[in-house]
Amino acid sequence: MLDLPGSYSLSAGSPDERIALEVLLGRDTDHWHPDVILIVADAVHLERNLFLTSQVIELGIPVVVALNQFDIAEREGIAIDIPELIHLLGVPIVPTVAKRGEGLEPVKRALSIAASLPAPARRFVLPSAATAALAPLVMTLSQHGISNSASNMEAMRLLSVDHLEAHVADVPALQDAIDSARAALTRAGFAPARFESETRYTWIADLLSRTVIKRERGDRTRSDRIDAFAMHRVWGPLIFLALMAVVFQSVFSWATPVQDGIQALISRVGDVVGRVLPAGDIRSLVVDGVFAGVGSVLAFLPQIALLFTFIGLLEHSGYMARAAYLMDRIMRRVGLHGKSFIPMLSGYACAVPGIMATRTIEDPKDRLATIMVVPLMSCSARLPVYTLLIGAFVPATAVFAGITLQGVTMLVMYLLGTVVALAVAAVFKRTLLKGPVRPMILELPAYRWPSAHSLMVSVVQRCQLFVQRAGTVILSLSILLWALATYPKSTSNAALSPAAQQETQLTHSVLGRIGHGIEPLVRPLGYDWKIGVSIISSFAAREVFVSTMSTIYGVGDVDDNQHALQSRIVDERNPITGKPTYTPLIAIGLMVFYVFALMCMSTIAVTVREAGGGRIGWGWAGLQFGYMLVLAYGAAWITYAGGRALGFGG
Amino acid sequence: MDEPSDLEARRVNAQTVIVLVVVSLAATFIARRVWRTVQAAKQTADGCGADCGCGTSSKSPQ
Repeated sequence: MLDLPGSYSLSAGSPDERIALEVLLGRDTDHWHPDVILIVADAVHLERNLFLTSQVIELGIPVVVALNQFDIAEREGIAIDIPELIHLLGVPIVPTVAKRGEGLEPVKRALSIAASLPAPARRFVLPSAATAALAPLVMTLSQHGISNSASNMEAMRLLSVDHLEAHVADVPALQDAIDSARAALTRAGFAPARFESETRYTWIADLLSRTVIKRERGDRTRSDRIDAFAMHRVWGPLIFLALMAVVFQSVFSWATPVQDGIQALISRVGDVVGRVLPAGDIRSLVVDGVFAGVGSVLAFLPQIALLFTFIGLLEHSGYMARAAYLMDRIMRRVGLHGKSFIPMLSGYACAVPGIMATRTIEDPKDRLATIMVVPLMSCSARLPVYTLLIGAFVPATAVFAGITLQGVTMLVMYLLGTVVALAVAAVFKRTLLKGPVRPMILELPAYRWPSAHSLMVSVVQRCQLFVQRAGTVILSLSILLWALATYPKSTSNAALSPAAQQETQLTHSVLGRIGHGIEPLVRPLGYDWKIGVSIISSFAAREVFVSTMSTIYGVGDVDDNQHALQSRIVDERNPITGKPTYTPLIAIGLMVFYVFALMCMSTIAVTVREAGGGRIGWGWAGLQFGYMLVLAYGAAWITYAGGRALGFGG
Repeated sequence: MDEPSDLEARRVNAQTVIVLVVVSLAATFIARRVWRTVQAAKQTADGCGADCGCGTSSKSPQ
């Protein structure tokens, strides 16, 4: 089964619509050819969904329509005559409530019999003059690999297309055929650019007048009443900010006990394994490399679960679309399309799907500007870094209504990324990617209680990915970093304390030598070589910062691994000055660095591809990596140097 | 019978070999991962090829 991007039409204005069209026409590069097409239409907004349905029906491929959210339609007084609709559309139609799994079996049955039914075809008749005007264009298309039925749909669609898409680019003399059809239609008194939309919507209006009865609504709905506050010019943004503050506060207040439990469990298991294994390199590898590295990252699983639970709640309840609407005013001011906010919101989870989500943006310049700033949104991989440093250096002082300074600091980090993303987008839209601002049309779903099952599925999936990542990438990197921190070995000196021996070993190791080599680069930010090495290693993935720190502080200290990393870095002293290596100012500077730095190979790879691939793609990815690194270094330096100048120590 | 010091030396050697194998495996995994990521950047197909959950591993084109 292939799930195509949600779409209101096959107009192919944006990359996601283009992908859907290519697959449905059987002309995509992966050679998908659908046996049956299932259209999930919104019963509440049938008019908008029937446009796509009418186009898909004309492809000649068996179609089943699931009329979803049928319960809400009934609640809102929308009565749909299903048998009459089936009669008029000529395809099986099944009312469904996907949230509760209602109608699932009938949909499956309809899908299994759809192929044996007569092939669906256009349900309206064009005026004879229009049919004659389009006939040569239809013939041109059908002679070059597009089915007769689909050629009729394509001919109408191409009338309003400015640039031919890749899937029809190889059809000879197609542009001439389109121009001729346009001229013939104009002579017959039609407007070619509006011909398809006017024809289809006229048919849809007639169809709805015969199948749908809408009860007049007297009172405002529950959603209207909630929106009076949630979408208010003043209260709306404040409610949004308050919700975000609660989300980030919960990461500390609710997740910490579970995190402590996981940490204790991992330490206990590591301790037992450490005692079973004979003393030597294998024990050190398992305890200091595997348990310290992977365990320190796995301990953040409760935070990840909580973050995605809240994101899921906001999304499934219908609030996320409101947040996009609230942000549209700001987005337009910086020159971005309102649609850009959805990819940016996705970036809070992971920049990769966020960048992929830019495919819904029609304008290539808007899309590129959004791709360039999505990685500035704080993704879930930054969460372990923020939580580690905030937990260690920011006190849990109450600020207001149960929100502590820790929650506020976390909120500030997320806001910092968002605000700078908007500012950078404004720069791009006024320089390299200059272009007009288009209005946004957004369908606001009704507020509803999120389905516990759907929520659970998305949270469990995210947690599985996190654990999988810890068990593969983080594990492998932890082993490599352990080896770099262990070899070559220094000669042991019994006169030194265990801590001094550990420091000597680290300095003597490959990791220590690399760290001391790069130390001059990070020293202006207040960092020592250990932080420098952790930053370098986290270029593969941000969470590796935590595992590297854990490995570094675990090396040579097998019997003391139960101490949490947080207390280790708080107690860490500069061996020369005796002063704390980490201060709140350095911790804040480090978090600021992570807000801006692009440290994710997957994001770079996706940017290369989505920005056009080849040299152009690598060029944009290089620019993105470069500007974010400059921003990260500059902001961290300003934080550290500025903080010291203002007397905050460090 | 082996002397205790010989046993110790053998154990250290065996440990070194095991550690070497494990570290090599980890290095190979990371190198393969980097290679796949670079290849994903070159592809033009749908899906991201990353490990964020939006990949196309379940896809089976006809």
